Amino acid sequence: MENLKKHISMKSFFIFLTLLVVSVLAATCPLYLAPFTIISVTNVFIYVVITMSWALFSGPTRYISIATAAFFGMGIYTSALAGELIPFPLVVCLGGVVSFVLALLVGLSTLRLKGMYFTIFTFGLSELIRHAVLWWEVTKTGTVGRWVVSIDHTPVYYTMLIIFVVTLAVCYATGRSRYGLALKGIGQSEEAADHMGVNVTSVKIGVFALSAFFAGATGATMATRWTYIDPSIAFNPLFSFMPILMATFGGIASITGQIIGAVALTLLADLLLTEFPYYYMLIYGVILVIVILFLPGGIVGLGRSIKKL
Amino acid sequence: MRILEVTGIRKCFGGLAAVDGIDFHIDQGEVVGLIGPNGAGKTTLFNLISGAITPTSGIIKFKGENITGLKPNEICRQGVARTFQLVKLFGDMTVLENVLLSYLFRKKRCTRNEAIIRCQEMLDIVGLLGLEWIPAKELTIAKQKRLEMARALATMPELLLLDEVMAGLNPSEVTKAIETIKNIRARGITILMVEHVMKAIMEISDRVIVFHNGEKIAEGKPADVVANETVIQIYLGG
Amino acid sequence: MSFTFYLDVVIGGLILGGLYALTAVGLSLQYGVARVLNVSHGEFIMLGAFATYSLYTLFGISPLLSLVITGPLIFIIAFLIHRTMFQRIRRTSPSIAAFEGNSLLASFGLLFIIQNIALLTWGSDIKGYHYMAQSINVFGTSYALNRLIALALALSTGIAFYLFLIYTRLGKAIRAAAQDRDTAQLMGVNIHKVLGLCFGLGALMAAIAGSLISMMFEITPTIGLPYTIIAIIAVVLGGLGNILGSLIGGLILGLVGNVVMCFSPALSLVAYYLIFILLILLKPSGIMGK
Repeated sequence: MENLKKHISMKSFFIFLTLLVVSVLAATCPLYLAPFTIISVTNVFIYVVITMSWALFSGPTRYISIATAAFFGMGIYTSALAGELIPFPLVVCLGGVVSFVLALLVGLSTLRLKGMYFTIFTFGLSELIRHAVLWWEVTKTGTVGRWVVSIDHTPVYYTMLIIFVVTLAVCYATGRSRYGLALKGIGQSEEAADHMGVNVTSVKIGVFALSAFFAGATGATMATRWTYIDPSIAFNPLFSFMPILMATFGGIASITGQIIGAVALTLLADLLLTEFPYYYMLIYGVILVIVILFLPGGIVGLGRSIKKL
Repeated sequence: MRILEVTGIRKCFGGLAAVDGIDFHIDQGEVVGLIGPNGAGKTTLFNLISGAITPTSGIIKFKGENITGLKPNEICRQGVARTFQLVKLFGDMTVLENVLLSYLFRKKRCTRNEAIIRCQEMLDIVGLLGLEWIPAKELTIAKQKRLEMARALATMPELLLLDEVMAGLNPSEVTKAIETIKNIRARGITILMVEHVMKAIMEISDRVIVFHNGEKIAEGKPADVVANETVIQIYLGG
Repeated sequence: MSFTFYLDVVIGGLILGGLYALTAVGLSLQYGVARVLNVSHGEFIMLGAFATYSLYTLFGISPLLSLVITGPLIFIIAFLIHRTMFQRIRRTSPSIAAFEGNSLLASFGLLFIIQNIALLTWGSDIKGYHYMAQSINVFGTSYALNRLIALALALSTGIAFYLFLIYTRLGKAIRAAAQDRDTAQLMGVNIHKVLGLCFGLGALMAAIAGSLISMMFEITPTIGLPYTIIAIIAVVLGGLGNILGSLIGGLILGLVGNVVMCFSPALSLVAYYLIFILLILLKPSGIMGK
């Protein structure tokens, strides 16, 4: 027993040390890495955050949300509209809040019903908002595109780092709490969970809105690197597709899998956009189909199967 | 004390009345058996009591409080728990996690360790101690039914609705299940059980209610009900 | 407003509605029977449109005739996709709900695959051609002949399909499978073949619709998504799984859409979604649903 305790505390010590080193590196890298690398790392953070936040709700509950692009786009538009009026940190929070509210509305109307209605509704949502925003911009404000207040890559990096840490903490804490069990229970048998005292409607709507918050905040942050946006850029269906692809590829059930999937495919994206810019949609689509057909547990699942051999 | 009081309960699906004007009550501490042919409305009644569906008319009172039309999780918090005829376990979660979920939503403030210990007690009552880390879907059907009981117990109910927990069990499993129900009863929990396995009904019930075509047609001590002319008719005739 | 104006709106609505109904019935076959909510449905519409366009502009084959080529071709492609992809997903999914989820995601992947292939083949420019664009006088207003042909073709496809469902053996098998798959299987229906055929038929309807679209409108590889969304709304409006319901749903959306387009073309999708939201809040089971 003493040896076991010693073994566990050695392991914890090493994990702690690794995390400390990684944190210090992450916090200081703008000082010694090239701007291009910083931007790449920021990009990785963006996809890791939207993947983790998507998987927070859609992973355990099996309510597949295809609305990430809508929340991300709302964040982008918040940045465009509010960027000159309020300081950047507030813009980011506001972007999150706007998406949170939108998700509440969507959840209140569709999460009382079967999962398919929810998925169908979220599928067209970003397209709907794109049309609505386009109509509004064309008829009421006269402009289609907008300029976004540009923020330097270093503050953007730190913002994304903070969002990443917060998202990671929230996802981890939720997973370990009774709400983590509740979300899984809802995915396994919603009726049973309801009967065991879980207010399934509140939990679903609440966690869905929470996941949207992070997507919105990320969108608000990312917009500042684009400087010019219009409805087609902001509400690109690809942003709904990517978190699903990345989580499924890495392993939807664990945070580690989600992060691995996001990191791997973002790095792949960098490669594809330079070497095969006309094929990236095709390749992503093929990867998703292959994973669904042959690798239901994703990379993490594959790793576990190999370990068992 | 009347722990459950059902008055004038009707439930219609389209033109068909699955439950048609039922009145009965259950006293605290009783074990009441509910029998009747298939399609008599027994599971529908359970669904009405647990809140899964709302009655077309009628009132359900639990401990004097009107619980008609409340949502299942609200009714659970009041102290009513149930198992399901077709087992609805959280299959990919472990045996322990299945019980833990119910317990943690009942006792919101406690440490993980305390919760695990209490849940293991529940598993002990149903005879599943030692299987904590196995995914629920890998259990045999008999053990799955007992896990459903443990999961329901973890919500600290005062009234437990058991829906055909003996279905599909072999004789030794039936004996084990009867033992488990006696354990539950010994803890002061009132039980309403739907059953086809007459051995269990005769052995455990204080009272038996008989349903047929959505109506209550007999009620009384097990021996009396079983000797009742009408009851014999509906089971052997028609 | 004159009578001809209202007639104009109604006939225009029927043309659009016929188109939507065609796509909706196709999607409904895929979801109602094969239980695949094919979000790449619009991409098959787009493929039908581009195939027709290419056959007309490269080889001069009339769009009505080219259906003889494009129809079966897309049918076979879809049938094979079902046999390979969706059959496997069915085998590896632990439950119906898991299957629906996985096949939806797989079709999402398919969406990107097909769209990218189209972009590579035809480029992203707007394409169009003129076919039977001359005006015909009907009840006092004039319509482009191709639109009237589109309406006629949509109607005849609908009637032909209806007759197929009622009178042929295969049609009856499909109706049986749509109502109760297990019993149908017990009755001797080769369920795997029927599922694949329904998926293929759904894509065939999409291809026909695409062909009609290419006659009336300009096309790009990105036109698919809005049509998918409209088809989905029509299917939900009619009642998930109800084939006749989706036809009615499509017609209603077409009429509503045409009315909205009189005021503001850009708001038609918004109008459809408002209907969708109302539906979900008030009667999610749809018009023909239980």
